[in-house]
Amino acid sequence: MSHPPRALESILKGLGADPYLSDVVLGDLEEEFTERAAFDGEEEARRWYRGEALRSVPHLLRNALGRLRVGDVPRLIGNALFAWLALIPVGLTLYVLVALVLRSFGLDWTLRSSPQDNAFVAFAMLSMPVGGFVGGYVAAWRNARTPLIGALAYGLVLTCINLIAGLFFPSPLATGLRIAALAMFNAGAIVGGVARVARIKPGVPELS
Amino acid sequence: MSSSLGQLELTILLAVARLGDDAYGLAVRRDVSARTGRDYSIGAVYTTLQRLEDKGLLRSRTTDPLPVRGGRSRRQFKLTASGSRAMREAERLAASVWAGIPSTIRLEHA
Repeated sequence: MSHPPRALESILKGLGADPYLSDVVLGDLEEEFTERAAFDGEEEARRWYRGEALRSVPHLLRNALGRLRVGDVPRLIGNALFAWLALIPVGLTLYVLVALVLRSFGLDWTLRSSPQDNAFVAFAMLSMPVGGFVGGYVAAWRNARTPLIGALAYGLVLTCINLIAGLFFPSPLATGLRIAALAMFNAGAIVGGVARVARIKPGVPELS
Repeated sequence: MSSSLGQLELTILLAVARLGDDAYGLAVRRDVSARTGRDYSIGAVYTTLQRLEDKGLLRSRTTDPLPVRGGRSRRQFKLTASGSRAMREAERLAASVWAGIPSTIRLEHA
């Protein structure tokens, strides 16, 4: 018997909607998937499932956001900051690796925070999606009930910190590059959150 | 009551009434799509069903888990007395606003 994509099921569950709602939505999706797989073939059924799962995301996400309480905000911000701290060893490792690779080519490279330094700009642009991904993954892991909202909150909190910091310390990146970097950071956070929930087993209830 | 019903809400309420004991998300979605020609997402249908239940126009119960749903239950909906009243009110309102429209611009009914 064919099964719908389990990773997609996990992602829909990971949105954090009311379990009652996500369960009936996933049940309907699986029921129709089974019928379509029998009549149209599994490949066609999988294509339908992907499209239909995507169309269900806004509704489940709205439900999940509606379930958030004021008391959840400090938790989301706290987990975002925790994920940010987790980036420090990742960033240092990335920096050391890049420096070592460049040194093996005979280039002595140290970071200079300057828009004229192309290597710095390239490093900054590369580190944003990586930082977004890693932090999004950690934030989703820390927010077990609403993992994807945790990842979204991580991107949002760090974007706000970046914008506020920019008021006091001018960014070494040009405005266009900075906007692109923040967009890549948030995209990375979402992908990181999705990667985390895709690893969670959907938790299909046992049949009695 | 019906003045607070949106078009999709009314369409779904009518589908639940028509389907009787078989009114669960997937069946409602198929009925609504077949009659309106629009392909509503499962999420949209359940969001609306939930809203109608919150308004007291529907009530729901879950069935036993079913293998065809990966071991999940169905959520079956039933019209409440308020739901029936809301439907009658919507029909009365529709008849009222259509009254006096010349037959030349009205659909032929079988």
